[in-house]
Amino acid sequence: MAESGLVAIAKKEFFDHLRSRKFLVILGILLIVVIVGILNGVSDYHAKVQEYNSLQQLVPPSSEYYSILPEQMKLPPTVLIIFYRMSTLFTVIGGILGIAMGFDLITKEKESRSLKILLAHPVYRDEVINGKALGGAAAIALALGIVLILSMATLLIIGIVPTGSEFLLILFFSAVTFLFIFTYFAIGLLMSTVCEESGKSLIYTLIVFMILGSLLPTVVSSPFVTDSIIGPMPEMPQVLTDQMMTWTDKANQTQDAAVVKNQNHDAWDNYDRQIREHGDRQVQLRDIQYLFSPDKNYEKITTVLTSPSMTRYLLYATTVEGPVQRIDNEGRDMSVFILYLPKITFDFSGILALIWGNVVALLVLPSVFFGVAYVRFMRMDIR
Amino acid sequence: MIQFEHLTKDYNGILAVNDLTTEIPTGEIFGLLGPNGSGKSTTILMLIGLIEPTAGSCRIDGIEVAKNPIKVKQHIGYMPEDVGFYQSLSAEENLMYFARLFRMEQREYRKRIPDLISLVGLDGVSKQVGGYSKGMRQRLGLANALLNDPSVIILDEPTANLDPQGVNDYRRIISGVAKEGKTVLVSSHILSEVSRVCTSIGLLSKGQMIAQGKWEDLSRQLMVQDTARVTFYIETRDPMPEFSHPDIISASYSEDRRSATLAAHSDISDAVIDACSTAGVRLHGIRREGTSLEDLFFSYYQATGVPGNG
Repeated sequence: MAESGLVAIAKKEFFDHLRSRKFLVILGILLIVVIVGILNGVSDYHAKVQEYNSLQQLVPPSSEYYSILPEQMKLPPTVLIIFYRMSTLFTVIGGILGIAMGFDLITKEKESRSLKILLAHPVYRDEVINGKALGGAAAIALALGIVLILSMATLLIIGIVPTGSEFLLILFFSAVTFLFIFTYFAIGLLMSTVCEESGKSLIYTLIVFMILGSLLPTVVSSPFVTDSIIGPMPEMPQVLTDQMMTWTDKANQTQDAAVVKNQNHDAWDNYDRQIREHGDRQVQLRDIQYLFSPDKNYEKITTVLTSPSMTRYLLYATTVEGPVQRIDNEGRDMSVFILYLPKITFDFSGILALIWGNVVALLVLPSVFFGVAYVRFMRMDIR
Repeated sequence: MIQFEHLTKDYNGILAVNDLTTEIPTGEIFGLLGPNGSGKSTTILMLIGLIEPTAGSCRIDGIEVAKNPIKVKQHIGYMPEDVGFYQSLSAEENLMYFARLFRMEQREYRKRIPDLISLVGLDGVSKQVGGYSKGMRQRLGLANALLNDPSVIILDEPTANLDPQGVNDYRRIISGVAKEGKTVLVSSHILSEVSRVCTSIGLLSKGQMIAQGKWEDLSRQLMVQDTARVTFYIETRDPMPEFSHPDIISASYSEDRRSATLAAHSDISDAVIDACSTAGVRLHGIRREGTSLEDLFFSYYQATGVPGNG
């Protein structure tokens, strides 16, 4: 049976990518990165296992101090940590792969003058642009499939067998990586509909890559920008500084220290509120980048998925344990251990709760870029 | 059959095609003649559904293009000026791809493509299209225009990059398909080329059809018989013979007789090739300059009083 125009175009695009030297070269680099990443990740994993075992011996679950350990320290290391390093490399090489596949999809047709002859055939314009996107998506999926198989094979050869839930998370990691690469593919495709020449399209795509990947996060997290928009971090009032110093001096005399700690409640609460508000504003400002930057969304998702110990740094001040001075139910001073640490439950639903917004962003961003490319292509004047 | 009804295209206030109404009957080879900017390409692009008319309509075999572009494209074969293909694919792979877009069955196109490649003289060429000369691409373009066995074939400047042999092949193929009852629309600005192959001609100026009819009638109307002058610049590797042909107006040869300039009333390139072949002279190239359309229009405007290009 004769195939539809969409399928014919998607197939051609898919095989064009597989035959393309740039795709093969970048895929080769990606595979090397994967192997190196895994080997490095495996040493990280073994170190974490050792660290965890030592901690378990030092502070066993039966110990009274065990409950005050941060949640992520109580978790046994996961195989996913191996993918953490890989994800940081994917941010660059995956982005470049997406760009390399997308930036000349339409300009190449304009330059070789094949677009006019293509559209003179009985195909709808949307079949052309959708077919190109589908073919590209299939090639990206194939590349990631190879990466996944290679990763799993390497792990098994080394003797590390992921559990079922870890394997699911690895699949989720791969799906997110697909969305990230496809986002830059869609940006490249958009530029190739806007520009007349492939050279210009590549330059504009790289500019967007740099703005979204580096410039925007740098600007948003710069202290100069943060301070000028939300103001500097509130300073601790003198009375509390004095109290802290007095408490430190008396730290060895438990009775006296307890007396000192129970003073200035209102001042502590007020300072705590200011810190929280500042932290919230900081988070709101930082979250702006999640609206635009595929890199930051990908970074957050993959960090949460692969590295619980790194997650709390990403989530600083989003979930606050308590004020600087906090005495738990048994009268222990928690401030020594917990200062604005997030509460995180590291099961699948807990992880999803942390990253669902970013996953949505990674679905929306390529859709928006592809949508604009689609509209632009449909309205393009063919002469 | 091709029909234009009050076809108009306005590009931001500039009328590229202005109220064009005409009909090209089935089996006709129609030459659309006009200088650059006269609206030929815009007319063709509207005919193949790549741009929408501002007003009016065009129909192919009774189907309105703007309303049924996909259905119409099933009926047409099109070769654009400076035709382009996928550079990393071979001629056969390019045609197979386009055959799939025509929804042709694999069995059908596997049989048809080698025949077409052979017809346009590209058999035995297995390299990627990226390595083709412009003339070879044009031959492939012609094969592609015939791929779906269309009832209407639209060719935009089809001989622009062809060598004399390619031009001969093109004429043979076009005459052949017309005999099969297909309608052919050829757009060109080379008068002599159109006059050799087309059965009727339309003159387009500033988006309007200013004259249309059978070539013989139109040439009388435009006084072409008196003014047509085709100039040939010939180069050979060996000293060339003296060319004799009743249409030759003047001839000048270089001292070593390896180059010559001939002026003639008609296209005598075939006669030149034959003469060189008979004399055993290796031909290096023939460049041909047709009668200026502007001159032709000028004489037409003088004769009819129609406002012209300037």
